Amino acid sequence: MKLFIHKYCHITNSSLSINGKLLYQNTEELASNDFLTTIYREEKVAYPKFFKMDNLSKTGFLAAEMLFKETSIYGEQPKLKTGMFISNKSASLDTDEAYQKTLGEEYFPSPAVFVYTLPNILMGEIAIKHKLFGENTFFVSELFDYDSIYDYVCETFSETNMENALVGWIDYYHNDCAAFLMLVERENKENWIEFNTKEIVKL
Amino acid sequence: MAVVYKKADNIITSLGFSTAENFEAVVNGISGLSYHPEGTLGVPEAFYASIIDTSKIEEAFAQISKEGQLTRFEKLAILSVYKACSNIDIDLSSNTTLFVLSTTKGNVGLLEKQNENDFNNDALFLSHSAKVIAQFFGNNNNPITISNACISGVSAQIVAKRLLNTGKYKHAVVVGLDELTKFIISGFQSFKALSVDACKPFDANRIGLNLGEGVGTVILSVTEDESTLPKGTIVLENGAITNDANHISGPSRTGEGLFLALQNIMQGRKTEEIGFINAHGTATPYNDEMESIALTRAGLQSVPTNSLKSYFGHTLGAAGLIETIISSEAMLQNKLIKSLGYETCGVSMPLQIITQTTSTEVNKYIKMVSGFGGCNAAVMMKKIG
Repeated sequence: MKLFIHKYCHITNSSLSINGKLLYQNTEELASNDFLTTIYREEKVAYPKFFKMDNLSKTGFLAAEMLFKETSIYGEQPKLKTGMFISNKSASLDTDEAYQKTLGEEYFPSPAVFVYTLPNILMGEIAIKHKLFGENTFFVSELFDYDSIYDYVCETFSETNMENALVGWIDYYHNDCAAFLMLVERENKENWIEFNTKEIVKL
Repeated sequence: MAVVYKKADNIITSLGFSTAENFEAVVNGISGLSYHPEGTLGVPEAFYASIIDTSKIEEAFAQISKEGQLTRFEKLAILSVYKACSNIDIDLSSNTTLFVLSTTKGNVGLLEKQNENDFNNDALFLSHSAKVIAQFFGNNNNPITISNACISGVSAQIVAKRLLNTGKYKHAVVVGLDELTKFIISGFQSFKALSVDACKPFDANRIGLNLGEGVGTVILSVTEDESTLPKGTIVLENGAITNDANHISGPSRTGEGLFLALQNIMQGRKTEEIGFINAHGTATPYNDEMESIALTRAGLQSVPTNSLKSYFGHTLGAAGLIETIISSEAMLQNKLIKSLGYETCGVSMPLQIITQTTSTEVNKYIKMVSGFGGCNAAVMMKKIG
C-alpha cells in the first residue's frame, strides 16, 4: 500500500522544524518546557487547556498543531477518518514520578496529575482540539520501531477508510523533549514523499 | 483473506491460575473481589479489590524457573505465557513469533524505591519489561508494547491481528497485565471513582468501580484458509478503535467513540447474529450510562449484555484480555454469563442485562471497552461452527 508524508515536524530541546526547515530555535537556552510555552505563545494558539497539560502532552499537542495548521484538517468540523499512531520510550514516566511524589509522607494524590499518568492522554488532547474520532493507538518501544509502526499503519489504512494519520514519536523525560511526527496521507496531492521505512529513516 | 484465530490462552487472577479455574468460578457466581482494610499495599484508605496472593505467584514461578532477578510483574507475565503455551506446539523463540505486551503501568510499583541506592531505573520502562518477557522465552524480535489506558487489552489483540495479516509472523503472544499498587489505587481514589463495596455494573445503585489485578494471555495464529480450522475455534473477526474527541477523563455523553466502533464492526451484520455483548461495565455512573447510549444508538440494546467487572474488578491493561478469554469460553460452551451485582436498571437506555447464567447457542459476541483519553475499542469474535 502506498502512503504519503504530507508534512513532518521535529521538536528537540533546542529547536522546532517543519519539513526539515528550522522555525524556532531555543537561543535563550530555556528549559524544554519553557521553550514549548514560548512556541505556544508565538503561534498564538489561544487554547488555555494547554497550561493544564503535562509536558508530554504539550509536546504532542504542539507537534500536531504545527502539522495541521494550513491544512483542511484544522478547524472544528468532526474528522472521522483521521488516525493517530504514536510511540515513545518513556510512556508517561515523567508524570508518574511527579505523581509518586504526592504519595509520600504528605499524602495528597491529585486527580489532575494522575490523569496524565497514561501516555495515550496526549492523543486524547489532540483528538479534543482537532475533533479526531478515528483510530488511535499508543506504542512503547526503546527506539522508534520503524518496521512495526510502518506495517501497522499500512495495514490499518488498507483495512479501514482512514484518509490521514499522525504517525511518529513523542517523548518527554527529565527535561528531555523529542518529537518526530508525520502527517501521513492516503492520497498524494503535491509530490509528497512516499511513506516507507527507507524514507522515514532519512527524515 | 487471512483469518486470525486463537490457539491457546491463560488467565491468572485471585480466582485461579488457569482459564478453567477462572471460568468455573465465574459460572458458579464466585467473585475474586474482597475487602482490604486501610494500610493494605500502603494505601491509607480501605478498598475493595481482587489481589493475587504473592506467595502463590512465587510458588508457581519456582516450578518453571530459578531466575531470581525478575520483578513480580515480569514473573506474572512469564507464568501466564508459559501456562498458555503448555499444551500447544509453537516455537516461542522463532522470528515468526511476535510478543505483544498490554499494560498501562508496568513496573510502576517500583517507583517508590527510585531513590534507593543501586535502583535499576531501566525496570521502570515498559519496553524493558516487554524485552525481559520475550527474552525469557528466547525471542529476540522487537516486542510490541501497547499502553492505551483501559482499552489496551483489546487494542493489543487488534494490533496483533493486523500485524499477523502482514504475513511476517505466524503467531502472536499477546499478554495483558497490570499489578495493583498504591500508585494506581490512590489515583482512582483521588478521582472518587472507587466503590467501597462490590461494584454493581449497570445497576441503579452503582457508585463506582473496583480495581483488580490479573494477567490474560492469548496465543493468536493466522491461516489463509478458514476451512482448515477445527470446529469450536475462536476467530477474531474484526476490530475497531476510536476516540470520543470530548474529554480526557470522562466518557462522551453521546457515547460517540464507542458508537462509531460498534457501527464499524457491525457493518454487514445483523443484530440477531450477536449472541451477547460483554460490555466494559465498570460500574461508575458515567461509564455505564455512556455504554447504554452507544449500544442503543448502534441498535444493539436488545442483545443480552453483561459486565465481568464484579468477578475480577477492573484489571486495567489485562481487562480486555481476561474478559475476552472468559467470553470466548462462554461462547464455546454456549452460555450467557450473569452480570453479578445487577438488580435494577440504572441507565437511561434500558439494556438486556443478563441476570442468570443460562445455556443458549452463541456463535458470535462483541467485546467492547472504553478508557481515559477518550479511547474506545470493540471486537467481533466468532466461533467456527
